[in-house]
Amino acid sequence: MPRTYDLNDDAVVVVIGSGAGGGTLSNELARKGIDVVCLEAGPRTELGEFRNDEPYMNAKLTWRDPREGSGDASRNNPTFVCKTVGGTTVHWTALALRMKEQETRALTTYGSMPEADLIDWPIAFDELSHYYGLAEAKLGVAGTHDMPRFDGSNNYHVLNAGAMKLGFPHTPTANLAINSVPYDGRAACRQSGFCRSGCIYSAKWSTLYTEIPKAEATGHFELRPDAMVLKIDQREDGRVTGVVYQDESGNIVHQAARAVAVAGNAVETARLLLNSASQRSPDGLGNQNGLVGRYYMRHVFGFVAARMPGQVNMFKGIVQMGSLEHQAHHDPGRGFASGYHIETVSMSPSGLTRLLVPHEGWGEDFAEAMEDYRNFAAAMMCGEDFPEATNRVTLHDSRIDRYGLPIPKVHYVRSENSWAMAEHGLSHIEDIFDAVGATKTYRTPRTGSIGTATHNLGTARMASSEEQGVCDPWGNVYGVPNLYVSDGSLFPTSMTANPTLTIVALAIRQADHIEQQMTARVL
Amino acid sequence: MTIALGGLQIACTKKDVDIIESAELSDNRLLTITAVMRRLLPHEDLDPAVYRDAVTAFSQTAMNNETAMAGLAKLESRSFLDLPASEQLAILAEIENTPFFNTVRAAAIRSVYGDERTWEMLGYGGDASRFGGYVDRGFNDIDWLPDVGRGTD
Repeated sequence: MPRTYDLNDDAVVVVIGSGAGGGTLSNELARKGIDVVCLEAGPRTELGEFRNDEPYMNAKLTWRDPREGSGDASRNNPTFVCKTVGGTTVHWTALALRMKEQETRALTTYGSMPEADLIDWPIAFDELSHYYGLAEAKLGVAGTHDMPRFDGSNNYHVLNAGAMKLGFPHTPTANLAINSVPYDGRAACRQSGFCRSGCIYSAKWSTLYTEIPKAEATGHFELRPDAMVLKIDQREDGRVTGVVYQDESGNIVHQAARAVAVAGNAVETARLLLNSASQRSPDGLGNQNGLVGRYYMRHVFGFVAARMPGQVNMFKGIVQMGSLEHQAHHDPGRGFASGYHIETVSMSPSGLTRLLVPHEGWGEDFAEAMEDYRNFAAAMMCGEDFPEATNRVTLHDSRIDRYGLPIPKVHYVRSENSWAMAEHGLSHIEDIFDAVGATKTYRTPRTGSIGTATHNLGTARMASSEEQGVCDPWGNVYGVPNLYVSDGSLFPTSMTANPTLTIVALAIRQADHIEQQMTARVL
Repeated sequence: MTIALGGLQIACTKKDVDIIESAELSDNRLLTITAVMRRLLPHEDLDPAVYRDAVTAFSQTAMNNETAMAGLAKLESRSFLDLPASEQLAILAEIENTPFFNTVRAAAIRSVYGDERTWEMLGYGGDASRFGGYVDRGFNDIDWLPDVGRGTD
């Protein structure tokens, strides 16, 4: 049952964030008998409040505190993440893909490049694979263990058939953290197509209705929603002693801690470390080498919608049913390093307008294309983006938010490698649709900013040495023995795969490590 | 007042305007917004009430939007409503890269394509929880793809 902890209880581990990283870490620690207080900035939403209504759910889930983008990032909306219990796992589209072995050795695989600060992942691939297995079993991933794959949706069949027509191999439906059959007390998917709006059937894994209630059931866990952490306190010897947060009534609250784990998504995690300057760490926690917030990465996204000769009804069924990997390898012959996945994606009429406006503008051509909505198929690319020290999250020097904190600035410039990859990917996806009869294709244009990023990574990267990263190979912040980072901020490189499964795998691994450190009385 | 919108067979009348709840904007201004939105997103079979609701939503924010007000005043000064279709389209083409145009287009798109009556016309299903999703309602019923050897998974 849920329990409550005293604010002065310095035996608890404070976990900041309740999404893929924080929610998983919380439950993994609690089930080991370790007491956890999880502080989540957003409110706790009950499953019954979910609706098949994108604008309504976006309003409910979106992190709206101001951020400022520069470079190629959107100025007002550089990132999209969620502010809710469950974090972005409420919104995610559940592609649960593993990293490839050569991707973990990024520097070795790709070599030194002008616009990339590459390092190899400081984890053996065999060890990571072990945790991927545990992560897949936890989430319930169709196509792994005993969970059958899904039957393909129409949108998937168009993409797969197009690729086969071009001579690429048949690809079954993707590894998805969505129940194809009932699993773990949750129902099977009903193909409603609203994965992004919170799954009303709880068929899609989200920490909101898995890790969080499971942690509560252990009797070793307290969730405090609407708790925005402002600062982590550090004492002279380097250890952190607790956190300061603002509760839902606006009170400033101090919670003591034995250890602290930060999982606020790459922007907030970096921001909190930077905002937690102390006498010992005048430039922010873990920032003795000025690396906190640097190496900010996204994925190389790009979208193509295609008018097909027959009905597709892409809104029917799982949003990201397919993921083709035939371009996901490293082949410098294509004119860029690393590769990309090609993933089905569905769009509502409103979503489709975003791709049509740059091409058809308005008027009769635009309206006529929209009236063909039923015949549209769509796909996106998700490619590896490389870390650069100059792409970074910093604190604004004058703008503060309602918590009195400097707002985060997100500077991101897309590298020539990523631009070349985007051009290749979008052209290739167009070729795929053309191969099965597309009458017209509409791609993400290369104008203005490159849009709002949903995958945000790398701002407190782990490395085998303090000179190269903020965290050690376990996610422990260098120089702060009892402070951990537990989200995608840890990623040394972005890999081609969607990040969530890897975040979960690393969180399970980190929980094992924290338990060992406690047993050894290091923590 | 009946406004002829060139070749578009969509009524745009004073009656429409009366239903729009905006005491702040003149009839002429509301009709101008209506005409512009219909030119931007000309769906002949769409229920005119969808446009009317889009104009209502826009007019509620447009009053406080200098760009919108200035842009509309400019169209009015050119007697936009009285022009034949070809000239209306030419004027819109002339201003299609202005902030005013983008503001009106974004508002029109937000309202019109977020409207269930539009969804019905386009064949988009909207809230799928009403009937329990598409698991038995054609999520995998595609039948026109060429045979590529193996596409049944």
